[in-house]
Amino acid sequence: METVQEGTIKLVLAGPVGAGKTTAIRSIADSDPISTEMPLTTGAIGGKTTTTVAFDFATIVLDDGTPVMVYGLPGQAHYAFMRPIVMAGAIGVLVLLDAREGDLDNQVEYWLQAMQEVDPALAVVIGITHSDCVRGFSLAPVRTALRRLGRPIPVFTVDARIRDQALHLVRALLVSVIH
Amino acid sequence: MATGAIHAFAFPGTGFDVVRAPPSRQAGGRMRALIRHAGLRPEQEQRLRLAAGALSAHGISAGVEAWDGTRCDLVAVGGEDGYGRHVQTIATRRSVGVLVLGGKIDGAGRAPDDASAAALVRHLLAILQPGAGVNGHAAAPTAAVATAQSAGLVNLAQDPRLADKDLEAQVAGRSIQLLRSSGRVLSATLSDQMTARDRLCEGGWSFRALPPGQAGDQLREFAGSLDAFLLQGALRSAALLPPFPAQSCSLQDWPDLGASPDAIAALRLVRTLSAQPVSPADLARTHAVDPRYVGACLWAFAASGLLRRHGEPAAAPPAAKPASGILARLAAHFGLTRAG
Repeated sequence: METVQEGTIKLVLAGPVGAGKTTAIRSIADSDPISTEMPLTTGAIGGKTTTTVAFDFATIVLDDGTPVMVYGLPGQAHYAFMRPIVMAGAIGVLVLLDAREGDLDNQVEYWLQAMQEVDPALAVVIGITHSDCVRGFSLAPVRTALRRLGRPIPVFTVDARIRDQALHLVRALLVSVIH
Repeated sequence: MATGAIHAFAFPGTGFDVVRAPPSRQAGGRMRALIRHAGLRPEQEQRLRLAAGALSAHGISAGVEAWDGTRCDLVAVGGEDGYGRHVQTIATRRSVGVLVLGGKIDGAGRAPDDASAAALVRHLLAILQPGAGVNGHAAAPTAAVATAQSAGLVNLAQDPRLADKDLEAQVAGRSIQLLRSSGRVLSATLSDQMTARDRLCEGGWSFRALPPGQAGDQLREFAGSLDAFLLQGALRSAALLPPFPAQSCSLQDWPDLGASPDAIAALRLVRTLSAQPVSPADLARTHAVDPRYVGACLWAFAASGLLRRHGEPAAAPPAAKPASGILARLAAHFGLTRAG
């Protein structure tokens, strides 16, 4: 079982631009996220016109008043230097991937390796968003990639807008940490 | 029925009168069919298009176009529409198959015109595939497996003829596709999927393996997680399921349970099954979970093709240690445990 320092609980969301990290934070947090959203310089991507340039931050308050700090990492590779800073002391990472982008097996490998470089022991779960928008969507490439990496980690297709589904990702992460 | 003969008949209570015509052409081993329509209301045409798309699961690539007087394999006409009845007369004279939606035609009984796309599929098949019964798949390329009494979920989990295959499944007149290769369940309507889910623990199912390339080809209006679909169906009627066989099991992959946020205890079971082989009894004991709940989860995971069964008995896993401190409060907040 992981040991977590009393008084500091940190949860991190990672993944590429447009995967739904800010939306998921909005779904699971008790407060609106403090976001550093800026207009996309490349123009709109789908319906998305802004992106996170530093990080998102929100809190979940436990029954005894203890805050859980929820951070969303920016998706762009040029902000990779922020990952070890934001992830320090986190209990785990929710990696959100966008099914519309395709190439999910390579995305899984990239993001798991990126997380492992920061902390090899960190618990990770993967949420795949927008699977309903992709004709012929398949989980098979993701599962094959995870077998290749030898990491049986939870992979759920989720709608980041639905609180229960986003929370279920957090539960899967906690189960990985606790049990 | 002799090829080339024309026969008119009605499906009592189904909403359709059918005039059967010569079968459609074969092309490249896959039947192609052109369906034209005349005098249909927009919603009738929409259901016809859905049904035509679903014919792909039966080896038929069907296109749908408005009637223009030129060649086609079948005409769907509105029985209450004057133009539709006129086109029916022309099509019958040309020995073209006719499907009449609603109305009272040539003495046949008045038929309701709100039949589902799944019902339309059966009637289109009856015209396009000689020898295929309305309720069967005699002309299907692979044999169907029917379940009279046993639960559809149990058949999916145990029948070796269904193992590791993408399947088309039918129950209570509803048709769905269970795609183990991609982890998805597809259906023409959400209602089809919900009805099928609610009947997973009952009998009356029929299954047919989908040939490669046909899975998810057209019947895809509603797609979801296969694992969540099976688990929800299993948990809704867990009491109807037999005990899961007392053999050790494990999981290589996590089931996709994002769409089953109510199945919280299932997460703990999956975590243990992912770590080591374990028997159903030990799994229930380790996590202090009702054995029927454990059985339902295992039937669902087996039906989705994810569960590995081991011949050798497995050592009992250590009892789950309750979380403490912040983690306990965190787990309680998210509904995993009660705060200690």
